[in-house]
Amino acid sequence: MSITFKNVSYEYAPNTPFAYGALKDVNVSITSHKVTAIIGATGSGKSTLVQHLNALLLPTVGEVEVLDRVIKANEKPKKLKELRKNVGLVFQFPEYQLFEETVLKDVAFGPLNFGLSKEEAIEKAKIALDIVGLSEEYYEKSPLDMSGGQKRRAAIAGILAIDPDVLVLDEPTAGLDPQGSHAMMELFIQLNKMKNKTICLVTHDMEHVFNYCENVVVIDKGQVIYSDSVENFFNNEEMLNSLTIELPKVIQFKRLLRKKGFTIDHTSKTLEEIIPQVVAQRGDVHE
Amino acid sequence: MNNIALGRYLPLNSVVHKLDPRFKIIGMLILLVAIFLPAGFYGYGFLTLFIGSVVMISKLSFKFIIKAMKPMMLMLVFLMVINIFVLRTGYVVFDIFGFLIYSDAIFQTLYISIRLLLMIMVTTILTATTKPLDLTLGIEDLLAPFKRFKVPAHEIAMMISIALRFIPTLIEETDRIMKAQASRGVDLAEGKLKEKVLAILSLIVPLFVSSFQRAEDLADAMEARGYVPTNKRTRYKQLKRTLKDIIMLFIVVFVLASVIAMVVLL
Repeated sequence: MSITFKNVSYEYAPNTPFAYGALKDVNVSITSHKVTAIIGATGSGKSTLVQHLNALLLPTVGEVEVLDRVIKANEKPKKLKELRKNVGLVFQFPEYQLFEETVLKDVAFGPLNFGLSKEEAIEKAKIALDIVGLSEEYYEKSPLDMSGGQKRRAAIAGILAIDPDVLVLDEPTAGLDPQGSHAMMELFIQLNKMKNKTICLVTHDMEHVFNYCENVVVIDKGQVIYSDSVENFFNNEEMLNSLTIELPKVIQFKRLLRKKGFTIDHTSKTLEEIIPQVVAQRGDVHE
Repeated sequence: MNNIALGRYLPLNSVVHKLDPRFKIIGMLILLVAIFLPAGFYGYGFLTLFIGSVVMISKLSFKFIIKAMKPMMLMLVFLMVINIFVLRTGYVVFDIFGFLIYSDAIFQTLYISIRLLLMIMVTTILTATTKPLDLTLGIEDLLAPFKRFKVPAHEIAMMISIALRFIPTLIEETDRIMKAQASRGVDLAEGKLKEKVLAILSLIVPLFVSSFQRAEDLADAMEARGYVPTNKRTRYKQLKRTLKDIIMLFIVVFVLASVIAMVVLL
């Protein structure tokens, strides 16, 4: 049960002078139980793409298969609630969706909407808040009185409390400090490893793609131009050169070493793996 | 949400687009006066013809005008219903199972509809052919003579231009929050009344919070740039009147005069 886009196009404001094609004939699959990164320049259509995953946007042309549902163009889908329970979408800067008086109430809002009883919803909310690292002392706080990072955590907990199988995140670490964004990424990886959730995230940070993700989808001007494993992606020199991205430090380091005449294994991902190779090839003095 | 046509500027290239906003505003006011005269059948026919041809000259499509009309449709239906129940003069046109519908009710509704249609056409011509910023400059200039009576012309213009500037932003924001809450299971279409109230609340509270935040940020940014509303300031963009503006004004005055003539003579 993966997610598949078949010839999907999407146009904003069709039949008006402002019509704008955001997706053009997109064919891509997102594998279940993996962490997939969606990357691309601003305005390339990443956000439009992810909004198709829980049918917030419906394709103008083509069809999207999500779990056991097929969403076709020109067909009004029914029972979207069910789909949205299974695919949780966290928007960019999700802290703006907080509205309840207390954090606990706000996080319980999602599960309540999906038909859980009040007690169950509160229970789910507490679990979700625990996952994002907001302890009991925050339960009765107003979400508006918290710091930016805490708000972000509370908002993400609001989606986690729904306990979706697929978690889609649109730039979840934007505007967070390095430590906070690292912790946030760790959290998603844990969810993937422990609870076997499919994670799909939009990001600009190649370090995150390199360190945390398994697959990568590259989107440019509304078209998917590349889709493969992260390892293959960072070894595809041609592809990397055609994109204006800042490569992860390790990849940059490997490139520099190769320029100096060293042969570095394609699979090595850490300094610990690279250093012995360099030492072996120099085969002299040091150590 | 992005399909709102009312009050939207359309960047086309026509004679009407190039007219001086001050003259366009005056022209619009004159036409509005003409529309509100009890001009009768011929008068409204004449006005419709005139305003329709201005729409054509502005290169606007009638589809766009109809789209701008859409939000008013409900109001028109409402008016129609009230008129049918309240106005009981004239002769009986329909007799539906003993319920009588009188001619005056129908004519009254028709007059109001045509007036509304013309009003929307005229105002749409103004807003669709004039950049919001030019519009506020025009308003500021037109209000300038009233400064003597302590009318804060510049402040009013600034408020209007800020309000106009933030309409698209707010629409975008609303759209975003709606989607975010939809992802959390909010369904504005279905559900019990209590759920619906909560759904609307989940939309309005974040919208207010971010609006206040934006307002505060904007105020700070303006202050940081040394903005003081009462200071005398020069303007980068100068409005210029041309011969075309004078001609336009003459035509509009002529239209008003003809409608008055029709009211008096016919």
